[in-house]
Amino acid sequence: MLGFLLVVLLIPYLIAAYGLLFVKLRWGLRLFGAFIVATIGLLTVMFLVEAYPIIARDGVAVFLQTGWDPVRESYGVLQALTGTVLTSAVAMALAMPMALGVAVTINEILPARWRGVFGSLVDLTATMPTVIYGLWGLFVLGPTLQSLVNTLARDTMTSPYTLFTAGVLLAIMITPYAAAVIREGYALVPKPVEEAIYAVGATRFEAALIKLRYVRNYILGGFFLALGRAMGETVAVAMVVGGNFVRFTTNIFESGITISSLIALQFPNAASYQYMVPALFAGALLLTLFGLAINAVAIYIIQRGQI
Amino acid sequence: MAKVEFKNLRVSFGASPVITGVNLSIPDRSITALMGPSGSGKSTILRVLNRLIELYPEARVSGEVYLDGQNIFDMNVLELRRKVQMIFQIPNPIPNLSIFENVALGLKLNRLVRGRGELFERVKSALEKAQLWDEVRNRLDMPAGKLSGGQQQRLCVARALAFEPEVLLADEPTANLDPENTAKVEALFLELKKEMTIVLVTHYPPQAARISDYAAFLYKGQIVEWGPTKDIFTKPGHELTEKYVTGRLY
Ligand SMILES: Nc1ncnc2c1ncn2[C@@H]1O[C@H](COP(=O)(O)OP(=O)(O)OP(=O)(O)O)[C@@H](O)[C@H]1O
Ligand SMILES: [Mg+2]
Repeated sequence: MLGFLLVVLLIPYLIAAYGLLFVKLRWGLRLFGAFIVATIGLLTVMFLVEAYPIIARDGVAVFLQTGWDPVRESYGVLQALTGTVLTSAVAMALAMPMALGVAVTINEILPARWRGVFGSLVDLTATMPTVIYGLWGLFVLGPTLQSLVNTLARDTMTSPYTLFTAGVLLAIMITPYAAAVIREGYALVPKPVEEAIYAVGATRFEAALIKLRYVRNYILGGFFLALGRAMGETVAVAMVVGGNFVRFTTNIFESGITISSLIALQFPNAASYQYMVPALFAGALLLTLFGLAINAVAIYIIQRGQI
Repeated sequence: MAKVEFKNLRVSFGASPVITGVNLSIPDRSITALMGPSGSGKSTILRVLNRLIELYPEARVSGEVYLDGQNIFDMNVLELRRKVQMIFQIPNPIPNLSIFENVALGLKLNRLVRGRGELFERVKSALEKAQLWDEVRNRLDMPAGKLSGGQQQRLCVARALAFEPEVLLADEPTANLDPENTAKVEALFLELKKEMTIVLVTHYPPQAARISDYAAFLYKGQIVEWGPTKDIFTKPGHELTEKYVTGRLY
């Protein structure tokens, strides 16, 4: 059972690994990409087998319905998928600009001798235990966001713990990951190319933008690494997302749940019910398919953009 | 009147001095050849003139450099680079940008043109001058990194010419070209010097003899001798210069 949990939580890391591969050579990308797709495919089959009882009972409805009622053994994972999508979307929308800003600030704007220190500081925040983030989200971020949002629009956030809170917390958690990948690419802009950019009269800011275009595959890599982290984050999200795994919502200012946090929160008592374990596996299956879809998009982008 | 004037220029990288007191004036609308063995500091002098040297945090520069009597270190660096364009020793197009973009970028950033039509004309004319237009006219959208080495070199010539600069710094601009294209670029420079001041770095004394009006011989970070090209080649005042121009010093 614990092994299962570990495997489920592995998927987003595989997606994240996929992100890192964007920065590798083409053939390498294909090879490792194929390996990762194969691994995810294998997991898909495994999850399909485990989820089979509930699929046999409910059909595809388990993916399309909402609600979580252990007493009547009626489960749906759509609300969790929506939660994963919404929190990840909020997180990515905030994290990518922040990561770009952090990368440019450290590599282009800070004096050379401070680069190392600030870079290490940012990298360090990536290694902090997620439970610390969760606690901070619980006691600081959640209440702050609630009062902030409610000041802007009265009664929007009735609870401090919402999909939005989780998204913002995730953004803060994943920014260093994306920033690290972008910075890595940024440092690889060859000196002659940098000279060309400045020689044609670019300002520092314009030069930064041109360089970012040069390293766009690293940005894409950082994006997928961060997205994988966001989709897979369990503990911190479970602490601030509100834990509403029953009611379907698309309002980010309401409490919700994500697939990873649903699995984490429900797994301990799942074995007491006949269909809850298969239902959780159905959630894992959905997360996997979702990850595959994202990879497909990624592959499409690479091939179209000839990155 | 001198277009560019170096007064006691010194450059060091970290602890190692590279340019150790250069005084040189470069006359307007002429070609001045900067010759010297590898490592003598030719490229460094060019990098001072458009202040790209500032991209090297370990570089220390002292002394003065004047452009039209104005100290370049007091000038707005963007204005300086608009006026002083450079063709680099190693062709350095921005590889992911298209052929067109590489030439157009500087014009756009500095708002030197109005509208797409004028931009296109400027880019086209620069590519024509650089003898590249015919080879790329049908693939202006192709990433510049896919061009051959010699084509990249000419693309960089076009990029610099698009600015219609006052000063053109050319660091061995024909190093990657075949004799035919070399001859064309040399002819181009002879044409261009009617409108601009050219500083031509060359490893190859015959090229300096062929097209330059003035020549300076740089050795270990110092100007050994400079003056009209004819004098430098026919009656060098220094043994080192004579050895160099006759191909006995590398
Ligand atoms: N960024 C740098 N850091 C340290 N030393 C440097 C740097 N750039 C140049 N140098 C040194 O400065 C000296 C002059 O270099 P420069 O490139 O100006 O020579 P050059 O005359 O252009 O040579 P070549 O004909 O080989 O191009 C060389 O000894 C070189 O090693
Ligand atoms: Mg050189």
